[in-house]
Amino acid sequence: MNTDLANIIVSGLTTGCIYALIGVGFVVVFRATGVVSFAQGAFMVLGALLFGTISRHGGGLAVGLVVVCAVLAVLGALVYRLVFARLVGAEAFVLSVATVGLGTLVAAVVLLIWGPTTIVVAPQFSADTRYHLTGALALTPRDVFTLVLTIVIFALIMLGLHRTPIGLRMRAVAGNARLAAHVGVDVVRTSTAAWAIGGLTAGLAGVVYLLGTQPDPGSVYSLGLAAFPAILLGGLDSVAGSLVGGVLIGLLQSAIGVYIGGEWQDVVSYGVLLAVLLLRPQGIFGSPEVARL
Amino acid sequence: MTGSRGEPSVVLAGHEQRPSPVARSRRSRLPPTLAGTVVFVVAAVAIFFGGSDNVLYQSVLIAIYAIVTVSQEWLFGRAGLISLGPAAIMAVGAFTTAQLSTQGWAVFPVPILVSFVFGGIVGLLIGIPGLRFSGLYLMLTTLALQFIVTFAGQKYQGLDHLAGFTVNPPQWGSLELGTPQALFVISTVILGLILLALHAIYRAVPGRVWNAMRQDEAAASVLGVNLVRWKLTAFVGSSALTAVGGSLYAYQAAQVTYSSYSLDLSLALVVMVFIGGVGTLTGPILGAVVIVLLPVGVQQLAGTLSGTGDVAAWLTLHQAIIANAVYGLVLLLVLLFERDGIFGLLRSLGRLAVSLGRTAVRR
Amino acid sequence: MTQERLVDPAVPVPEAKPLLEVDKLAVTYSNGAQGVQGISLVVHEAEIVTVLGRNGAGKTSLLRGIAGFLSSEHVTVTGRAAVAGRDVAGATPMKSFRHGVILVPERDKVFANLTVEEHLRLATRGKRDRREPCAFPALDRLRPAKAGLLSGGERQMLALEVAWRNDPRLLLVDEASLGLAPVAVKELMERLRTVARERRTALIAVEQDASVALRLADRAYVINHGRVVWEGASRQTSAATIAREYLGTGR
Repeated sequence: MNTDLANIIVSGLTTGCIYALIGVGFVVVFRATGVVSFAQGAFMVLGALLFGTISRHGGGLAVGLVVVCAVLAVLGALVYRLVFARLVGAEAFVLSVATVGLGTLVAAVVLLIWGPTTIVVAPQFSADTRYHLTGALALTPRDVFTLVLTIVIFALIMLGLHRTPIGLRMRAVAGNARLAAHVGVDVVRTSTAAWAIGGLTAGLAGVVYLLGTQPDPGSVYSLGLAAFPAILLGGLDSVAGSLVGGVLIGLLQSAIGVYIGGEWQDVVSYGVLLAVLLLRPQGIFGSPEVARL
Repeated sequence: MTGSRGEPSVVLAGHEQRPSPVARSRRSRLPPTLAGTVVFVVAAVAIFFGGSDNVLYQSVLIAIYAIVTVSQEWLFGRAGLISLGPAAIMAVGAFTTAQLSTQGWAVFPVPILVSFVFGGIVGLLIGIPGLRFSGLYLMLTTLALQFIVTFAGQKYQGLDHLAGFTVNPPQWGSLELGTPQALFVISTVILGLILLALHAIYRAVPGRVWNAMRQDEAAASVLGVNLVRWKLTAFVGSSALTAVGGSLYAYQAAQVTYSSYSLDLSLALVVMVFIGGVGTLTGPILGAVVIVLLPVGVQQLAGTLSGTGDVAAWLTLHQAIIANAVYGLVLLLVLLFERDGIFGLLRSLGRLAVSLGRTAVRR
Repeated sequence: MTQERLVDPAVPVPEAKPLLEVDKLAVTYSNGAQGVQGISLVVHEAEIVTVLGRNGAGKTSLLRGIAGFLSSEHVTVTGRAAVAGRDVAGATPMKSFRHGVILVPERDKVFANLTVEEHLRLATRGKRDRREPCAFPALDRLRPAKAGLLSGGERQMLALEVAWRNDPRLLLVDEASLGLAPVAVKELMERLRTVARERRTALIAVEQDASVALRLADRAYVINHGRVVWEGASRQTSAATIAREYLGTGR
């Protein structure tokens, strides 16, 4: 295996993991409340800035992750209770516009607190260590962290959805919220949990992205929108799809970065989005009904 | 959410405007349409004769954004659709204008008309795949358009035109139309014509069809309304008008560069329509006023506070972010508490004033 | 005109307490459409009542006026609908559920994305063991199947099963017979009646098919244009006549 290919695979997988983490939160929120959220990017910015600050004050990786998860979960839940629970049943585009406003507000408030400068994070991993797999394929500790974190999050969400009572209620609400209410499911509480997960995973996506580069908040924010091709490719309402779609788009972008040029990455993945819309609007794993929403 | 909504009735003959208390009052008054026209013309004349160059400049911007927000409201308020790429469509008009302005044969109104046509064509190309399924997909398609236009603009400018393309000022024979005064007249006249045209369309059959569609798509489709065709019509029409806005924007800036037509602008335009108020023509115009004047307001505030040092410096440094925070917050408040936006708020205040006045008179 | 009955209806004892009291209930949708306009009716404890009416007569609006609308539906409900003395008119489905009201809607009555087994797990309030055999034995062998793949009859049974397992005091069933084969309808109605009697559940079954409904119920209401136009015991011969008059011929 040559070095190019090895680089493509490794960087594609780690980028894909970020898209997958953004996507899974989107999917959980979309399934539970039908909201197409453009606010994921803002949650990512907050997650990244929080983690950066904690790391610079000597907080370790674990402390940072726990705080980010807790704060973002609470914010997600709060946002649902304050805004989207009151907008239930509004037209789909009104809900989306509300997420645009929410994203703008959260990002602006966060930038007023932290200032619009590059996000600095204290190094969390040794930069020189390499775990060599086969041939030229080698992982840095950060790569390993990214992959493991993503796998753990997906495993927890899948298990939670399919093996716990709250997961069952979430799937019932996703299937038919009104019917769920008639058979005694507390739709508001269930949806609150979904938004908490959505906030939490977006925060983690921000942390993972931050650990790979030293980004400015604007680029973190736009990553929330750049994830849409991956989300649509996997299927708007499929948790597994967000992982597969994320990794596929990650690999594609990383190959384009190596062979064609970095500036083509976004436009090609949005080309994929258009192709998916034309050929298979429900994505790889999505259910066909979503196309008719 | 699925399920029956009882037994819906769709009244195709219904009128989209709510009866206003003014129209219902016993004393005869100006009909709202005429009143609106009078206010518009008086404001335009006052600004033209009384405004400084800076005021004229800001007013042209407001008129241009109003063209765009009014055409976006056509989508949201009438067809129940949303586009996340109005800035991309503006860019289509702007680049078209930049190219044509250097051609001798394309005398003044031609670039604007060509922009109108090109905007419509792009709307058609994007609308056909985007509207095959639902509004959600149009949203994603227009988001893709936004990324693609930004990219294409960047590639088109290349290294030779890093700062963008120069736009030659409009000319009519020997008459120079690039002055603030001339641009003001051009943009307000175009805005006025668009408002009249849309007003007529909304009152006629198409307006009622869109209204019926928004109330209940299933019922409208049972009545024989071709949903996709009507949605596409709205999208193509609003795209054509948005491109006209882009064309004027190019003349105003005398230069076109892709970075002016960013996703941020698109989102800001969408947000403004909602803040101004969906469902009327006045609402989006108010939105355009806010989009232009809010940053100016923050700047002014910083200016008046200049004695207080730190606060003013902080305000100046963060004016764009503060404006964003205000947009976001106001949008959420509007969606939660006053769906008709600033327009609705003003209307409620107006009603309150009228009723208070009446009680006072009776006493 | 054959007026065969499935089971001889045991008319409830006259001193049975009223469970549901609907008084001048009116439902108006956000587009101005009137669902029901000033409807009044009573259902006693453990009584089986049918509400008959044509399409658009307001049957669904009546049931939803009792079982609750989501706040987002912007429906205006006036009047009173009291379950055991507590008003639920205009409440959310959650509140009506807490007072023991469960609605089995006409369409989308099961979760297509969940299996039968998962439906049974979802029904938790009865604190019963989910392994307990189903009231509809046919469901027991379908437990691993996705509800989206079930037939119309199986969906209806599953929806009723979920409702039973939540121990309703008042069960509202919207057009259970719609789209089912006559044999399946007969079987379903018999079972519905038996279980309701066994568990002393009050039942309102909304139907267009009077012959089915009158055999199921103790009492009947006929509604038209959102108002009650006839009420009486369903074994009265006039019930069938009145029903035929308002529902059209052939029924």
